[in-house]
Amino acid sequence: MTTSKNNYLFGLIAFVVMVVINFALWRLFFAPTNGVFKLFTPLYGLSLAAIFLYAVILLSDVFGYKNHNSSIGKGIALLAGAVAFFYVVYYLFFWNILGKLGITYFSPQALIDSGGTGLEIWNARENSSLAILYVATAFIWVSDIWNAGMGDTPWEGIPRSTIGISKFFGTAFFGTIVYAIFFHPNVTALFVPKQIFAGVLPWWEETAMTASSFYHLGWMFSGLFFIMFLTNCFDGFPFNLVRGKKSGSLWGGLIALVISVVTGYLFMYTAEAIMNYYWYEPFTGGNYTDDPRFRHLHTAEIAAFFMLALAIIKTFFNNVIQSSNRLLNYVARLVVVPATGMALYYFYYSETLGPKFVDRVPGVGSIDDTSLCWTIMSLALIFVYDKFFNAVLVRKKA
Amino acid sequence: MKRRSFLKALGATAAGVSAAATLGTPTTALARGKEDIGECKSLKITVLTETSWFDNAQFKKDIVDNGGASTSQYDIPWDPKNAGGYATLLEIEQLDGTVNKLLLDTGWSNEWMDYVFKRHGVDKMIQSGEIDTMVMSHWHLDHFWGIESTLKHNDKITIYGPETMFPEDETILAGGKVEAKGVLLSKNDYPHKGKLIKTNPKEFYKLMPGVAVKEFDVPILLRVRGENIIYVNVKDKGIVTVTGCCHPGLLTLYSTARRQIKGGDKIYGCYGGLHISLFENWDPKFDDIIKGAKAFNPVKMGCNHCTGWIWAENAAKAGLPIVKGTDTFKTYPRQSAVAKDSNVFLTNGDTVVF
Repeated sequence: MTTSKNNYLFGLIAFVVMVVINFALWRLFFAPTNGVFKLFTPLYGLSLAAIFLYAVILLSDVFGYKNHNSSIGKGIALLAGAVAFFYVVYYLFFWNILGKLGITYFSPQALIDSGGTGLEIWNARENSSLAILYVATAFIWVSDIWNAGMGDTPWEGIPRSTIGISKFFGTAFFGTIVYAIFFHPNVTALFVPKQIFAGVLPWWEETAMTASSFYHLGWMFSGLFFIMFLTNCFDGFPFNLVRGKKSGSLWGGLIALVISVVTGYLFMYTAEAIMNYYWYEPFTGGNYTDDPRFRHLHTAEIAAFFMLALAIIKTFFNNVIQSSNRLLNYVARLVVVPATGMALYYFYYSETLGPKFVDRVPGVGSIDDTSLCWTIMSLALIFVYDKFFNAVLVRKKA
Repeated sequence: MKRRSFLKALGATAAGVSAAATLGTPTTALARGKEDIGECKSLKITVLTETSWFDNAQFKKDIVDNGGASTSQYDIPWDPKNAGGYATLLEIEQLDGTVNKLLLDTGWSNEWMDYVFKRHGVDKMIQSGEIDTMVMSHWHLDHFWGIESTLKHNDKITIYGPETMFPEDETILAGGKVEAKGVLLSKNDYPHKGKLIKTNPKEFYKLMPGVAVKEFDVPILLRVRGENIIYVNVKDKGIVTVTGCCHPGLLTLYSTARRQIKGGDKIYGCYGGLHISLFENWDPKFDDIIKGAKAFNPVKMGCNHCTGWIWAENAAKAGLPIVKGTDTFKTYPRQSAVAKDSNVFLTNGDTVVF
């Protein structure tokens, strides 16, 4: 990264501007009481934020449309492209094409028209939103693993647009399989009767103490944090060891996959051990902090706070330090990123700050008040600034 | 999932550094002794009204049209024609034979609650002081906004309510009115002049031998926080939970009883809304609650209100001891649109003895 001399100062200025934009957009779209659109229902808003985040990742990291010249015009064009993609995919593709012509549960209206038990606007939209959130998670997970380990492999050297389309279909292929195995069984179990001919009964239920795919959300988000951390804070180690002069390799992809799964599970294991210490063991059928679903979701929430912290540190604060001593850089980031993540956690769940700034009800343990919507929206905004606007103010033109 | 002890130790260390500031100190229930709430001979429940609203679809529409589950209940112009209310009469027979009466909640529509109180003679019980205490389970509209119907008979009645009140709740209790978008939500012309005991989750509030109130500080939909649960310890039978909505979760209540109440390892039953399939939908989580409840071996489960007919039917089919109701509710002037002939709810006018 090429940075300007006073990048800490400029970073701070840019960060403050980002904070203002963040809370303005939160109030406009999501805030439950004093928002304009009040889309945080919560799953409807969360799925919207997740698809927008995927749109940003798709354009910048999969298609490789980055703005190295800090051109405001190009940044706006890329942002407009991401918004258009998001809108078309969410409302046209999911709600009106796939949901109405293929898989019912992607469209609230199709669910309502089916006349099933409990399927009116409230439940139908939340169920659809959950399915769309899961699709976005699977696609983001696969895309980030692919980018970290494989880069443009196996299409290196061919035109950028061809690489982008090829990577899109490659990641979409694996993303669909990931969705089908880890998430689809949860969605088909939401209906009366369970749609056992369309999806198997959740096979993880005994291990996870719940049929909910929040279990997979937990380790996938955790794994994503480690992939992001290695890529951004450890200069791409260990993927850089196997890619030579190329942007990635098949081996790199496999290593990224293994790291993501192993670290994801370890993080979830550790996070849930801490939760057990505070709230006892969860139990099947428990509510709030006793609910295994909440514990898994909360793992994802914690990982998302860490990802947000990483994005802030990397984009606005010079990745902590960028000295010639790599070890020093790594150690500094290893300390500062989790500490910042916990500070964000404190901010969100604070009895006073959280309710004031993100308009939430005080208390921990409500699945209906998940922090993921805010963290994902915040991540998407920082990615837009970083990838579409080349972190203007902070970063020099290439 | 089985947890390894070394990870617990690791977790404890890490937690001490950073999470403590946010989450506070770890739960101390295991460290403290179990609470002795005493014993009573029996508990009789009369379902004064469990139909908080009559049309589920209209209630959901009001929520969806105004921003969803996290919107404040005070920002929604609720359809006043849909308002009913939730209230329960508890008659606790002590070991010496004396009977104490207790009111749980005060409903939503004053017109409906006036009818209900008159029908069951609760109005006179409040006037005479036979009922001198009301437990507010929580500050939701359908449990609290009908407060005038209680206070008009005795404005000095003692109230136990969760400490997590919002300013609008205080306004209504103090004799004010609240509107949203031109619609009158609640009015109270009888300011409360009695004792208001604000409950917190650290204490057990012992009302009489065998009866205690405990608050669970949980965030609840429509921007409400905290719910009071009544624990009743019936001699030779065990613990019965009496709830308004049971937002903390039935199994959490049972689990808390086991950990914190002397004799709480013997669960006898429950009465009240259980907040499961509130809108008659389904989720695999609801199967989990059936499985989990069976593990506590309850003997008698009376449920209604926000439990969801679909859950109660499935629970009965799965072998849980769901107490069936009668057709008495049909003698009330209005009925819920989701009431079914399966009678798995204890509905308006029904009674159950524990």
